[in-house]
Amino acid sequence: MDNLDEYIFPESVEETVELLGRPEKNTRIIAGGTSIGPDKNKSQSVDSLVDITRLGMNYIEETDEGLAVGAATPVADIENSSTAAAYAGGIISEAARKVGTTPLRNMVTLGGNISRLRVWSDMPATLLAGDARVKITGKDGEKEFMAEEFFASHPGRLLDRTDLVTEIEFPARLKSTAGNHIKFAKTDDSYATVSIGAVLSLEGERIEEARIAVSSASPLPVYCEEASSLLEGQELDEKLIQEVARVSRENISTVDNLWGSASYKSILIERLIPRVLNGCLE
Amino acid sequence: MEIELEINGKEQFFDIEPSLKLLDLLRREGYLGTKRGCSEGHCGSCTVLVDGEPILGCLTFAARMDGKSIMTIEGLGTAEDPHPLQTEFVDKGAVQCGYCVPGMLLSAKSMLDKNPDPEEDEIKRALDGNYCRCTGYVKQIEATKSAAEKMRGVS
Repeated sequence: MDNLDEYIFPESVEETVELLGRPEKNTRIIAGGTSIGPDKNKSQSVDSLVDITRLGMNYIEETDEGLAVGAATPVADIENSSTAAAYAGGIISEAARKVGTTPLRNMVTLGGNISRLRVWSDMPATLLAGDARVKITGKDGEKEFMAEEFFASHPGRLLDRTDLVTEIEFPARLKSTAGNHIKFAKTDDSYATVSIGAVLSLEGERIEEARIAVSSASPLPVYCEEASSLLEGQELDEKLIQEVARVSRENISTVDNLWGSASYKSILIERLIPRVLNGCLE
Repeated sequence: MEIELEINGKEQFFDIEPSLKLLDLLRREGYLGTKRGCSEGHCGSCTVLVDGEPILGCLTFAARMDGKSIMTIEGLGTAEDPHPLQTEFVDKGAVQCGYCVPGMLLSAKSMLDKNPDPEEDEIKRALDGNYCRCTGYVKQIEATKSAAEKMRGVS
C-alpha cells in the first residue's frame, strides 16, 4: 500500500458513502482488515482507507423481522451470541465458530466475509440456507438483496463503489426451524473444501420448507433449489435423502483448488448432505 | 497522523504513516517480543491483545488502534516476575525455539481471563491461531492447564 495517504474514521454511513464516491481517490472500506493485502499493481493502488468499525454497525439484535446483525460485527461475537444461536438450529453461530482461528474470528466481520467473498468464505452457506437479506446503503440510498441475488454473481460486481453493506437480516421464522452446518476441511482451521448448511421447517415430521446451500465447492456459494424442493411436503427417509444428495451433486459445478479436486468435492457433496440432513433432526 | 495507544498500561502518542501495521509500530518502539512470522494472518506469531482479545498485528493497521488498549508479551511478566503461564511453559518444557511463544502466551492469557478453569478442548481452541513448528502442542496445552490450576490456587 505504497500510496496510502489517509486512514479515516467516518462519523456516519452517509459520510462513508461520500468518501467512497470521491473520484480523485481510490478508496476502500476496511472493517476486519483480513482481506486487504498488498496492492496488485500501481494503477489500482489504494490511497484511502475508510474504517467502518466505529459506526455502531457492531450489533446482534432481534427485531420484528428477525435477527439483525450489523455488517461490522466480528464473527467471534456471532459465535458467542445466545441470541444468534436461537435461529436456524444454531447454524449461524455454528458457521461463525468455524471461521479461521481465534485471533481471526476477532477480526473477520460478517459483512466482510460475504462482500469480499472468497471461495473459502464460511458464512455465505448460512445466509443462503437461512434465506437472509443483505442491506446496503449507497449513493442512491438504501437497497437490499436476498442472499440468492447477492451471491448470484461475485458481490464485488454487484456492489457499486459507493455501496456499503450495513446489515444482514435473518427472517423471524428461523427461530422455529431445525438446521445443521458441516464444514469439511483438512484440519480444524484450514480453509473449507466444502461447506453445507441446511434449514428445515418441520410440522411434526413433515418438512414444510427446506433450504440447502453449499459453499466452497464452486466459485460462488449456491442454494440447491431443485434438491431443496424435493424435500418439501415430505418426511425424511433414507431414499429421499439419497435422492436429494444425488440431485445436489448433479446440479453443482465443482472446481479444483488447493483444498480438493472437483471430483472429490462432488463426492463430498453427495456424502455430506445425508449427514447434514440427518443432523437437522438430532 | 497521530494516534494514542495504551501499551501495557502506559498511554503513548505516536506519529505514524497511515500504512503502518501495528506489528511494525510495536517493533519500531522496542516491543520486540511481538514476532513477524508469515505476514498474512496464518501463523499467529504477531498476536497481541487489544482490549483483552487476541488479534494479529501483521494484518492490523496501527491507525485502526487509535484509542485502544494493547498488551504485548512485555506486559505479561518479566524475567524477575514471570506470569504463571510463563513459569509453567518453562517448567513443562513447552518452549524450544520460542518464536511462537509470545503469541501463544497472550492467547492463553486472554482465554484464562474469561475462563479460569478450561477444559482441554477449550485450551486447544484458544491456541488454535498460534502455530508452533518445533515443540508441537502437547506440552503447551499441559502448561496452560497447569498455569490455570496455579492461578486458581489448586496446586
